[in-house]
Amino acid sequence: MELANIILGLSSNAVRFYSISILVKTFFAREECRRKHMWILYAAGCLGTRLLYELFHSPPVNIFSNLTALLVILAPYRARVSKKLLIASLIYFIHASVDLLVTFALVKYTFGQYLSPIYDCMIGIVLLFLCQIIKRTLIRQQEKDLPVFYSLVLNLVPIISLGCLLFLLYTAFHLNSAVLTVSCSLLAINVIVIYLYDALASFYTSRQEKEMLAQMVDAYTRQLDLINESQRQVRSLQHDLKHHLIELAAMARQGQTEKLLAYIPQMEAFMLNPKEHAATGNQELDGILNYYLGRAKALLSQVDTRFQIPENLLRGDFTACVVLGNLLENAIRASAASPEKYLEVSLSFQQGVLRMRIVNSCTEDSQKAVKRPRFPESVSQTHGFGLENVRKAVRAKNGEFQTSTSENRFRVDVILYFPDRSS
Amino acid sequence: MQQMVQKAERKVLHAAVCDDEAAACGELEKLIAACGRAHGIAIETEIFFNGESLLHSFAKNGMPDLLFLDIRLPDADGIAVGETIRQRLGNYQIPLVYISSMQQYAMGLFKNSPFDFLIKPLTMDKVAPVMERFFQSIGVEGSFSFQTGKALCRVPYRDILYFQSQGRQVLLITRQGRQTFYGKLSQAEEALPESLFLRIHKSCLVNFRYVREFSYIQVTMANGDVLSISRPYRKEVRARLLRPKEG
Repeated sequence: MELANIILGLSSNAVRFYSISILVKTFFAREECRRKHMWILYAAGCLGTRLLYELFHSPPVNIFSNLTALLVILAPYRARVSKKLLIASLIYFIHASVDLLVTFALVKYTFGQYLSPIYDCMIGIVLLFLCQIIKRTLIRQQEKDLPVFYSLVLNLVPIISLGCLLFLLYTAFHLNSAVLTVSCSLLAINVIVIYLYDALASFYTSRQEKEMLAQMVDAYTRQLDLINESQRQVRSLQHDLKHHLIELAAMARQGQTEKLLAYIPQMEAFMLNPKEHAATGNQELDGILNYYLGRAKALLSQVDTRFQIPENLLRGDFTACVVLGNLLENAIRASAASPEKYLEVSLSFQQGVLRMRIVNSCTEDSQKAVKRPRFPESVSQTHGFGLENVRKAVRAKNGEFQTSTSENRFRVDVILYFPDRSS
Repeated sequence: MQQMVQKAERKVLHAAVCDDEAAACGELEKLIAACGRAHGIAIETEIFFNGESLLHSFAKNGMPDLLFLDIRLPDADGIAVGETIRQRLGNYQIPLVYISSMQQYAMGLFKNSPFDFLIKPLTMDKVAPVMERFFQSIGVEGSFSFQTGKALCRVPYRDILYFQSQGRQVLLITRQGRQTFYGKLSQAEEALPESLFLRIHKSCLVNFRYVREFSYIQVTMANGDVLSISRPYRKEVRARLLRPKEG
């Protein structure tokens, strides 16, 4: 039983130090660390603090050993001493708070009272859970995130684990090998779930990036086709220009002004490519716009556009294109399903800020559908990103995304910063 | 500290059109006059066929209230003329509307903080919204008053770049230089029109028109000063940028 206590205690301590590593990586960038093999310091801290606890069972010794371990772990980081002291204190405070909360929630604890190591397991799981939340909250914009449904499912694991440990606490009178195995397994499962969450989030993000790249390749291909078509038309016009000039001269000589005026627009129409709805001088954006506006003009009754952005603004930045493409897809779909079939697209650039506005007519049902959360987002994944992912893509670039509805109109406004471009 | 807002009392507005195509100039002049009549405002339009004569007239007679400028001119292009007006002459007030027959715009045009762009051929449904925004923008003119010693000073909004709080004093940066007065920035903010001035920091209030560039964490002013946007104000700044383009 003594050995079982030690094994369980050590395992829980290992989970504690793992949660410390999550917090340390949240507050310090990897580049700030001078050491490569930090796991040695974490292992030493875990063993050292546990050893001192087993030897002395003294709260002051515990506090001292834990704070010392934290400072040793933070020592290799390039930061001011005051920052390290602050972070060490903060981490210790979080651990001590969880310790107290869990203990006092379950037991009428008195100072120096012996507690089953199962409590340590529960504290370890709660700390893991809490540190993940802190990590996701503090580095929100860079954090790869899973859709809400998958996050909820994974978060059930620590909750169920805590339930199991509580059950063990109240039903297992001795710390036998079964209890030890179950407790250690639950600790291990929760650590694995943390890894699984990050791995899934990375996988999901890579998939999104792949979708984005595929969309961009499509946009480039379509724009290239359009350019080739326009060039063919211009070459054809150049070839026939002499003939057209002769015709125009003849009409002018004969004073056929009306006929001449009617002939010029025909030449112009021949020169212009009807599939070219936008020519902002940003190839990737023009590709997206020409494709979706072509679809819009085929499906809808009224399409208003206004583009006032500089050429070569995006320079390989795909976020604006992907955001615009997905917003247009949603807008066209919603507008086509409405009686009015109206779409307005506006892009402008001023003071280093790119503004996008898309207004579409919609039905009341589709307005409500936008506000309702989707579980899971499989539908939005097949039809593009979905509004929520577009919002995340914009926020990742420190932009802003706003939607509003009024009288069968749905409006999306987006701003993205391009500060290097205008100065 | 007092603030007096005065609506600009104008009997006649002056517009200038600079385009090497005489027909386009004539057409635009008629459209401008028609828009003015619809709002009960008389607008006199002067026409120039090249950038040099335009700048020469500005030097002699002062700036008009509104300028339509073709991007392609025979001598200096629209970018260079715009640069002269904005950077060399330091005038960020005059609304500058670029005219072009193409949809593509060089980055240089945007550095001159254009008011709008128009694509030829010009028609009433293209010109009218621009004139509408112009009429709305001139309704927000006025001046900021403050006490320095026994004297009451008045600075027009169009000359103010930004305010900066320095302890018990407020530093006022204008096109002409800088001035200080005793007071609180929050009181100044209350006295100024919300559509023109934007708080970016607890100690900084900027004139929106004189911001050359916004980024997530800072603004670059027309005089080159870089000012930080503090975290509590970033959301507000983004919300302001999301609003429709104002004057």
